[in-house]
Amino acid sequence: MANLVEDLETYFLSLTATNPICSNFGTTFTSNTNLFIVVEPASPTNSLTIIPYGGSPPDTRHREAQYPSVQIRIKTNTAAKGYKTGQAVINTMHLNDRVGSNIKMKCFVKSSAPIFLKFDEEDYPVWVINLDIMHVQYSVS
Amino acid sequence: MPGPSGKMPTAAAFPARRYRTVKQEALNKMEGDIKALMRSLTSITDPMSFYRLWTEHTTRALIAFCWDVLDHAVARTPYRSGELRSSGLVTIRTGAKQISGTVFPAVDVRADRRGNWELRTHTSSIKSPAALITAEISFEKIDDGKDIALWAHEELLGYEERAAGKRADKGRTTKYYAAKPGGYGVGTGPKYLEGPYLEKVGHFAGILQEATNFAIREYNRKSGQRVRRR
Repeated sequence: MANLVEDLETYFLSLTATNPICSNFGTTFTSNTNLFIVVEPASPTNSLTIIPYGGSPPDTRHREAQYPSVQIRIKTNTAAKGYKTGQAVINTMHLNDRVGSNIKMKCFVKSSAPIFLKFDEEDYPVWVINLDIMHVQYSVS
Repeated sequence: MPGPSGKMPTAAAFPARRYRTVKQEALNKMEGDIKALMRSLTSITDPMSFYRLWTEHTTRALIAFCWDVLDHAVARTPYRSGELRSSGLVTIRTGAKQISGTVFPAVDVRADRRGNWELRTHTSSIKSPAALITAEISFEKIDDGKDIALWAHEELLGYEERAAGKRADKGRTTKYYAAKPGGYGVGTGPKYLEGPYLEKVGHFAGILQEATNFAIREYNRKSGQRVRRR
């Protein structure tokens, strides 16, 4: 039974080394090694974390349509690397409709450039990108 | 530029550096397509009078909507000193547009949550016709060069969820814990502006429709015409 977070995780795992996101990040993604869900661990230094949050209410006319939001959080050892990776995420994810496994889905990025959030406790820069997702609701059965 | 009273706005009213954080997510931009609206109505004998009424009612409806969003956003805004909460502001701007050879100037109205209005630049009131009305809801707090408003809005990871780690310190490895975020009271947290905005923006189309209907009714009352939507 798939869900939004798993589909996003699968999408990032499928990216090859030549994809702009991976080439700017420096490597491909591996679950719980440099790709995380909800919680961004203190290590490794370079990581991408997918954090879902509420978004807009479901559609009132087409009850199958849902509009969650997702934050992509990028932590890297240098600010330039984080910025370039974030911009590659924006370029790739905006209007992307290839993420959903068995459902229709489209992604809309909310900002044209990554947002610098802060330096974490070890002084590594953290960038965030927010997305609105529009998708047909996942089956829960 | 002086206001209608001839007095200049004070520097305190308009800080020299107004940093609009979270603007991108809260910006509510509405382009009033006057020509499309006019096509949808039966013939109007005095279009400029109608333009003015439509601009006034639409602007007031937009302000009311933004105040409502701001009210709910303030309740969710983290607080410690209260500076971030009290920085919540609504700014309305009606854009300049040349219509039929006449240029109508821009008006920038700033309204805070106590209902105080301040006109930034204007040569006429909000009753001037406008083809573009922009509303912005913003918060602002900068501390030691850090954008606190932005950080408090975008940091989704709570204190408990940010993992502890180890740091080399004078030749020894010491354990550290994620710094506890200050200022989160009950019911407050991240996305304190985006959340209320997304919850309420679905009602905005209906509010706008009502404002247009008010303008049509008032025009009919004043002109004696019977303008209707086709």
